[in-house]
Amino acid sequence: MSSISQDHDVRIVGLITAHQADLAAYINSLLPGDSSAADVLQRTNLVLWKKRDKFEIGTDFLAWGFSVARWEVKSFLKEQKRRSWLVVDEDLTRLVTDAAVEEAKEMPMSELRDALERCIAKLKPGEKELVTHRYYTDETLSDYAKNQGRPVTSLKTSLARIRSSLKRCIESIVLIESITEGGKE
Amino acid sequence: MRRVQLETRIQGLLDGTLPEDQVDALKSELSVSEEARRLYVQYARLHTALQFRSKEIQSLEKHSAKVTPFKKKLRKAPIRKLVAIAAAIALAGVPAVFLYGPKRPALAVFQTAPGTLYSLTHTSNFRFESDLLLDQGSRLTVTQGSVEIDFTSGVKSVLTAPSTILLKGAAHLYMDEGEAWFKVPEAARGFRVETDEQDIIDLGTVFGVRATAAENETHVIEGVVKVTSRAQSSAQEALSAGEARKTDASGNLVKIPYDPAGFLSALPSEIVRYEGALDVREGTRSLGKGGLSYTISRSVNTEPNVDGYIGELVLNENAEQVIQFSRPVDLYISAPGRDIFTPSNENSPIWNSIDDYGHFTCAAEAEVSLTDPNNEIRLEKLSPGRYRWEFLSENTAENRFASKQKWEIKLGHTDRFSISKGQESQARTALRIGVISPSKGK
Repeated sequence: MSSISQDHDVRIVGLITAHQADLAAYINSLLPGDSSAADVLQRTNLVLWKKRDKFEIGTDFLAWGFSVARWEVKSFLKEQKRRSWLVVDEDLTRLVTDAAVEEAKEMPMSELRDALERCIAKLKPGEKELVTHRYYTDETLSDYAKNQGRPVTSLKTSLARIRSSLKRCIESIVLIESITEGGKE
Repeated sequence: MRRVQLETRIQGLLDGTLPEDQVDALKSELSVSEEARRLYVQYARLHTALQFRSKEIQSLEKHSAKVTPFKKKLRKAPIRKLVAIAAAIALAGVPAVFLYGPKRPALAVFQTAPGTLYSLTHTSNFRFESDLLLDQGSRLTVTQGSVEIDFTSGVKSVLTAPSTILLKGAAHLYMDEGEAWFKVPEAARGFRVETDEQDIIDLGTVFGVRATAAENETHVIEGVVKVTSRAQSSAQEALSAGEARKTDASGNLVKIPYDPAGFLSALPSEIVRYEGALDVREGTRSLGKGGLSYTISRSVNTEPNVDGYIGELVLNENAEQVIQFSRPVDLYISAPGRDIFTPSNENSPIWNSIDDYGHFTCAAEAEVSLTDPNNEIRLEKLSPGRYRWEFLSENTAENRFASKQKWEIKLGHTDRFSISKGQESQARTALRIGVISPSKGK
C-alpha cells in the first residue's frame, strides 16, 4: 500500500470515527424505536470503509455518510422483510434527511454531547441514574421497563420529562455560548 | 398538534412506545411541518447522545473493574461497533495501532451471528475498550449461536455454541468444550489448539475440532494437521485432508468418519432453525448449530432419551422435569412413535392410561392447543400457563401401546416448560418432546 493511499485510509477512519454519533443519530431518526439501529450503524461503517476509495477528502463526508446510511437502512429493512413508514415514504425521508444534515452542521454531536454532560450534572441523582441506565443497552423502552420490573407508562413519563428539560438546557447552553463567542469577535 | 403533544409523541416514537394509532398523526405532522421535523431530528440526536454516553460509562466501569464479565443478549446482526472497522483496517494493512492503542493490536476480534449469547472475561492486563476484542487470557463462552474470530495473525475461526475457549497466546488457543472450524494461512503455520484430550498443531490448513465431555475429535478439511493425544504423547499422527480422529478412553487416537459438513465455516445471517427432538437429559444444551440453547434444571423420577431415542421421556410417579429455553419455541408433546419396553405379552403394557395425570406449566401467553382424534387425553387450564393433564383410556384397553396413540399437545411460543406427575399416578407415562426454534408464533 502506498503512503498516499494509507494516508487517505487513515483520514477516512478519522472521519468515520468522528461522525459516529451523527451517523447513529441519523439512523435512529430513520429507524425510530428500533433496537437494530446499532447494527445498521455497523453495516454503514463497513460500507463506508469498503467504498473509501470513492470518497474525496475535502468533500462533504456527512452527506456521503448519510446517503450510505439511508441505503443501509433500506436494505436492512428489506432483508428483515420489515417496513418502516418513514423509510417507505421517500418524500418524508428526504425531508427528515435535510433536517438531519442541517442540524448536524449547525451543532456537531461533539458540541451537543459536551453540553449534554453539563446538563446531566444538573439533574437529581435519581433522574441521572434513570437516564444513564435506560441507555445501557439497545433495547426498547418497553423491553427495558419489563427487565426492570417497572410499568412502562411511569418510565415513559419520567424519561420524557427529563429529556425535555435536557433539551432545553442544551439549547440554552449553546445559545449562551454563541452569544459569548459572538461578543468576543 | 400542540408542541407538548408533539414532543411527547416524538419521544414515544423514538422509544418505540408510541401507539399505532398515533403514529400516522405524527407522520402527517412531520410531512407538513418543518418545525416538527426539526424537533424530531433534535430528539433523535439527544436520544443518540444519551445512548453514546451510557455506552461510554459502561465501558469505563468495565475497564475499571479489570476483570470483565458481561453477557450480550440476542444480537440481531453479526457486526457491531467500530471493531468491524478495526478488523477491516487490520486486513487492509493500515497500522492497527490507529484504533487499537499505542502499543500493539489485540490478538483477535470477533463478531457474532444473530441471536448469539456469550460471556467474556479478560485478565487484569486487558486494556482495550471494545467489547469484541480478545487478548491473551480472554475467555469466551458462547452459550447460543456462533461467533467468528479473526486473529491478527490471519487465522480465522468459527465457533459454535456451546463452546468455551481461552486465548493463551497469538497462536495458541485452549478449547474447554465446543465445536470450531479453523482456517490457518501459510503465514500462521504452527497455530495450536488444545482440548482436554488432544493437542492439535496446524501445518497450514483448514480443520475442525469438536470437544465434548464425552469425546474430542479433529477433522482435517484441507492440508495437514499434527494431532497428539494429551494422555499418551506417543499417540501422535499427521492427518491429511479427509481424515478424522478421536481420542478413546485409553488415550489412543482412533479413526472416525470424516464429517466436514458438521462445522460451520461462516456465520449464518439469521438464527439457525431447529426442528426436531429435544434431548431431555438434565443440563444445558444447544441445538440447530447453536441457534437455541436450553437448560433442564430438574429431572426427577424420569427416564430421559429412552434406549438412546432422543426426545423420549418416561415419567414415573411423582416425576418432575423443568426446562428453560433461551428464546420462545414451539413445543410438541405426543406419545412416542414406537413401543417402549414392549414385553412379550402384547396386552399387558398400558401406557398413558387412566392412572396417569399431572400438571404442566408454560409461559402464560403461550398458545396451548390439543389434537386428540381418539379422545385419549384431557387438558384442563387451571390458570394462565398452568394446566392439568390426564389420560382417559381404561388401562384394560387393548393395544394401549404408545405408538398407537394419536394425541398431540402443542405449546406455541413458550420459553419454559415443566411437567410433573401426581404422587398416586402409578402408571408410566411415555412422551416424545419435539421443538421448533425459533417459534413460528408471534
